[in-house]
Amino acid sequence: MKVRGELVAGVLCLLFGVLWIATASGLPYMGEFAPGSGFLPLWLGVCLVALSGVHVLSCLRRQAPHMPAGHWRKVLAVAIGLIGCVAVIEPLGFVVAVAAYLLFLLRVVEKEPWSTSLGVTVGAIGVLFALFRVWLHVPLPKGPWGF
Amino acid sequence: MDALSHLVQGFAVLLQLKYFGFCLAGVLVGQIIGALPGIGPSAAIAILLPLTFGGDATGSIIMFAGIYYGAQYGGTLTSILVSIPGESSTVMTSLDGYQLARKGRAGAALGIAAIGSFFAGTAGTLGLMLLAPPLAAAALYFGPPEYFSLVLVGLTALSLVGGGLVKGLMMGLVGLMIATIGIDPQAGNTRFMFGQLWLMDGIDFLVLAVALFGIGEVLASVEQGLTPPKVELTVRNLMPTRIDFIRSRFAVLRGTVIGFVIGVLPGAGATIASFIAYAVEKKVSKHPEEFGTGAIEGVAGPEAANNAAATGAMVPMFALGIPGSGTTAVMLGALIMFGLQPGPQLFEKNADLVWGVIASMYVGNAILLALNLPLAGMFAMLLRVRYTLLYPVILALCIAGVYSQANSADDLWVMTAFGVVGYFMKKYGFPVAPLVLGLVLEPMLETALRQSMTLSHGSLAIFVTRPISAALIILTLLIVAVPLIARLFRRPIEIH
Repeated sequence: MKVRGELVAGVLCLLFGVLWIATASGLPYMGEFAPGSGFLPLWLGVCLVALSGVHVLSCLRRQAPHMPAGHWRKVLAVAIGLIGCVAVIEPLGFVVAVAAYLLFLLRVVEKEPWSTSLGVTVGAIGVLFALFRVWLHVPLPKGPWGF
Repeated sequence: MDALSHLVQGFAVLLQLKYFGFCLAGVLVGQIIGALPGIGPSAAIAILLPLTFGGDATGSIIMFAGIYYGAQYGGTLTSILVSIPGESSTVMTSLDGYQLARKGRAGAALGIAAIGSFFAGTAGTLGLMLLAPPLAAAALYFGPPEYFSLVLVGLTALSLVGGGLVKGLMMGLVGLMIATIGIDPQAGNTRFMFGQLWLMDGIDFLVLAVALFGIGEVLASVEQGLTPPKVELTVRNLMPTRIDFIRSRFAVLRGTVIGFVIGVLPGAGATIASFIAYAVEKKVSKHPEEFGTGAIEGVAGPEAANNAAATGAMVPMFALGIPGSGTTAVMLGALIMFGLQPGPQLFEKNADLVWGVIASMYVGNAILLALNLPLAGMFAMLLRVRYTLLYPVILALCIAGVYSQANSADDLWVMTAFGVVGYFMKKYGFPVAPLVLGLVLEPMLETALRQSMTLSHGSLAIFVTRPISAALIILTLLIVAVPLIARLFRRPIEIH
């Protein structure tokens, strides 16, 4: 399992390197004397492709060790929640979007009792609001309701 | 004498209440996050970066340094009391520390750890004070080719830490490549934007650091399902006995020297230092059979070593602008974020900052000793904090911090995407630190490359014909070659 994941990561790095080589080839390689915009990225790409190749080959030669299954559903819930929170943070405002995310994490994902979930959410939002808005005067996104 | 007068200047900075406050806040946060589960000093500094953005550079770096060495004290608590090292650098402490705790001697182990850490931190700061300025002065003679080669050494050395050399180098390259996105500052044209206008300014260091160290760490810890350890051991009698002191004094001394030297070397940080210190103590001990069953020297040596290493790692960061560990890589990024140019000129142009930080390290270590001896029992209660309540708050802090630095939701999307990338990197053992360091050092690398090749009329030979540059290139090759050769002769290493 781990080797398969590492293999995929290696292939992705390899493709990333190829993308950089291809794009850098269209940029000036050398100026008068000094390297142009494409010089360093091109060679970085070449090095990454070579190292990724070594990594992929070593993955193919290894046996997959057993990896204990983690709480991947939880990771998925936290990540999807984060995407949702970022999507609504400008229309709904920081306070509402992040409070909803915290409640979702504490109550739904972690199954904490309502009292704990509400307490942590209100406390965290209060401290962050005081810190960023009141103390540092950072304009956190406001919803239609003015906060 | 010069260093002494500068140190007086540093203490004058620290006498301002504001800077003393930053120092106190830093060591407190460090102590706390060292003991809390699932968050280390790199993550804490990355998450706090947005709060300090546009603020006081000297105060912020004083605070970040405090977090770094404070976390070494805090991490000791978890390894001694529950045998769960909060940081990899305290793994060795847990071997004998936990055994001592089980025998009812947790207090003595914590006490020796605090006193040893204080000695090592203070001696390490003295070493930093004496070693960094001449190193910086020597580096002032470095030209562009030497700088290019120096960045190569730094990146290669840091790649050794964590998941293996190849993966580390891959991540360093990815970091360098990400840094080429946006406007090329020398040529003036844009590159690697793929039609996306928001990539014009490139990927911000702050956003990437919060994403990889903050979000990525949280997702990885959530997957592991960190459960709070049962702390059944009570902490009392924090003053070690006379015999403890006698047994530990040389262990602390040896640990300090080993830790500092290893910390100064790029790439080999506090973790390796503590491993070596433990091995040395076991070797020189008259009772090696006691190691692993509760030998106080097994706590004193590694604890001194990891603190001295944390301080030693700041030597190359301040003197050369090349960090020796993941945490100092984030601190270097912070220096650049504040508009300062790290490297040898820092000692001349920002003397108040450098000497203020050095002075703060003497004071910070004293505060930590004063905090730890009477209050270790209270800090031990932090071990009961449940990660399930902690991580939602960390995520909220990441969101607010990243949004606040440019008031843009675009940055939040970048944070989310790289957060997921960071999770997979953790999961499959790709180290984060080289990537962040690559992002931070790319402008210096590319500028040095261009200037060097302009000097040599387009020839790459300049990097090997100048002696210092050639030596650094050879060092880079050795860093790559030695582990490969060692692998050919590898035998299992015995720790216990």
